[in-house]
Amino acid sequence: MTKKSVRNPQVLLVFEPVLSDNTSLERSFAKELLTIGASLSARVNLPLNGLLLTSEQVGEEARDAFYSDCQASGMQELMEIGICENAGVGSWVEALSCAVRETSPELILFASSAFSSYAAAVLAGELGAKVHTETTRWQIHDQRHLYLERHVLAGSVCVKELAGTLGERVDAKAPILAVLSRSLLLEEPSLLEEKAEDRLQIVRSKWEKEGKTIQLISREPLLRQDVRLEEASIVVAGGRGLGGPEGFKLLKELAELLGGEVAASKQAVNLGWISAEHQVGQTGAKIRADLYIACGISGSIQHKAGIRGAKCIVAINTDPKAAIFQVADYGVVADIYDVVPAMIKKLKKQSRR
Amino acid sequence: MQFVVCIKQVRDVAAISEMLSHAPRSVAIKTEEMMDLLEKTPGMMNPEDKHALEAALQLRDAFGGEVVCVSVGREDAISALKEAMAMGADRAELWTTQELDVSGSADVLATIVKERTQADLILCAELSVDASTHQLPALLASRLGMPYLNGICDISIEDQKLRVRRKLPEEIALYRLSLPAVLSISPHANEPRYPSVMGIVRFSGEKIPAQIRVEAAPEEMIKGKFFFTKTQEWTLLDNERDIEWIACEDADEKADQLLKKLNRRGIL
Ligand SMILES: Cc1cc2nc3c(=O)[nH]c(=O)nc-3n(C[C@H](O)[C@H](O)[C@H](O)COP(=O)(O)OP(=O)(O)OC[C@H]3O[C@@H](n4cnc5c(N)ncnc54)[C@H](O)[C@@H]3O)c2cc1C
Repeated sequence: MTKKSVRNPQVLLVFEPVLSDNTSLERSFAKELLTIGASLSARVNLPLNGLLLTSEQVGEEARDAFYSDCQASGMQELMEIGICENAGVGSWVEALSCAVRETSPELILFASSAFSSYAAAVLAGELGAKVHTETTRWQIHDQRHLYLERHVLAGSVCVKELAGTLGERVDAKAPILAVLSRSLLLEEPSLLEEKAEDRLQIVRSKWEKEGKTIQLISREPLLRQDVRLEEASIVVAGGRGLGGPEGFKLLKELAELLGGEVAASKQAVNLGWISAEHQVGQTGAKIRADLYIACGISGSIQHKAGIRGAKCIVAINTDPKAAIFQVADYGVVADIYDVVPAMIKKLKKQSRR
Repeated sequence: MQFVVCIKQVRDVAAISEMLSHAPRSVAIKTEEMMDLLEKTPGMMNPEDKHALEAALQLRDAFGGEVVCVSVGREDAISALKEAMAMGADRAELWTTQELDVSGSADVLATIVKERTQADLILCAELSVDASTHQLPALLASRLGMPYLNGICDISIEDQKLRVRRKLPEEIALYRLSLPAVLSISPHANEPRYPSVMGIVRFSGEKIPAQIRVEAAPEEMIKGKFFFTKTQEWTLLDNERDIEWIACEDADEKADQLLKKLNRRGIL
């Protein structure tokens, strides 16, 4: 690190690293994180800073839009650390950890992602702290007590607890680390307005070291057709009720007509009818789609844990008592092999018109 | 080589939700009631742990050595450890405590690893299905001063170095790590074996087999690290929706009605 940073109580936002192949600032909830960071830091009267790991390849345009969002959030300092893409996650987390140690924040916020869940946990270990994972809500009492909520036991129960008191943690205790869930990030309205006063300072540095103990050998390019269920706006899912892999061909046809993605229950994955990236649920993808159509899925607690975020849920099942109907907006008691082909026929007719 | 696997006895989440299914929704539950509820819920081995155990058994069979399971928690974790033994583990260490928070669990597990094992490699699950904090392996690794990597699908060992394949939605890559290390195993890494019939026969029954050592965790190690705290507030979540049934006679009509309704809602 070439430059020392502000050493005072602060709220620090850690953004998703920007790499050439798979991350963009818009996709990684940078704006949403800024929105929450801005209102939270204002409530506890602490300065707001940011930390961005980035490889050189990022487009100027995306970067400028990000800077102006940072500015609008009232951010004081953005540390931008240039990383080597082929150094791997070991090196990146070391860069992060080194920067965080220099700034001694009281509260560190991340937006939920595979990277942040790993980085936050490693950082927590080093700082002697723990992470408040998948935070679904935050509250400030008396301008300094931070309460965080999260869902446990496959989403059946919510627990709220005192994460700590802000404004008096300097040197004394480890920082509070929280990873904000996607549902929280998406529900916070984006309130960033242009502020007249521009006090954003961008401090740039480089981190080109290899990981000390974890070295990258090689990376495989991510295929574009890789399923991104969590970002899809329409998802058509099948379960054991499909009776076999050919059922997914039917669902794929429906999904394509609707402009959506195909997903599955764990049973369907276990039976080998479809690959594991398609799994939805507690141990699979968490759906946030506008429409989720569950075909031949019974609605186990673990499956339901993955579809709570869907705005509209349609269930098609032969068993009127299936638990999936408890969480559905529309229920169709029918054999999928009757209803789904009928839907496909109607949609095809519509599109021809 | 010694392969250590972290095993957690979790509460059966489906059973809890069944017990809660008749309670009024969106109401607060007292922490004592929550403790009581968990007390009553049957336990089981965290299903995700089986992927870590399977990976360890395969490594032992390829490179020789032994598989040691370590666990912290209530005494009923013995049943999870018996299951692990029946699957093929060599021995197990359980330190009993009340439910701890994740950093307390990491403290105790780190002590077990230091005092009762000579771990070359520690394998964990990506998450536990009850608390799901996603951080135990990282906290454990830091307490032991070992490197840690998650999302692991493949492991090979050459000259005291690990070569691992990491597969996550955002990255598919090969990494090199030095030993000893902590890895968390992806649920897509393998298909865990079933306990053998011999194993089940050997490790069923009331008796605690000699291969499982049970002792109480020292009081001073766990003080103030309990899962339940005074500041917690619990609420039952209301996940049910008001359903509208598409109740027509034949499939064509059903399809038609459904698509119309979705159209009207502006979804299609
Ligand atoms: C630790 C753990 C984690 C888990 N994680 C997940 C997870 O992430 N995701 C997940 O999905 N599951 C998960 N499960 C598994 C879960 O408990 C259920 O076993 C699974 O969700 C059931 O899948 P299903 O609904 O496809 O099958 P089933 O429960 O067998 O349901 C099939 C349904 O299809 C209906 N049906 C049959 N024929 C037809 C037809 N012709 N037309 C219409 N309907 C029909 C039946 O009425 C039935 O309701 C997990 C389990 C455990 C223990």
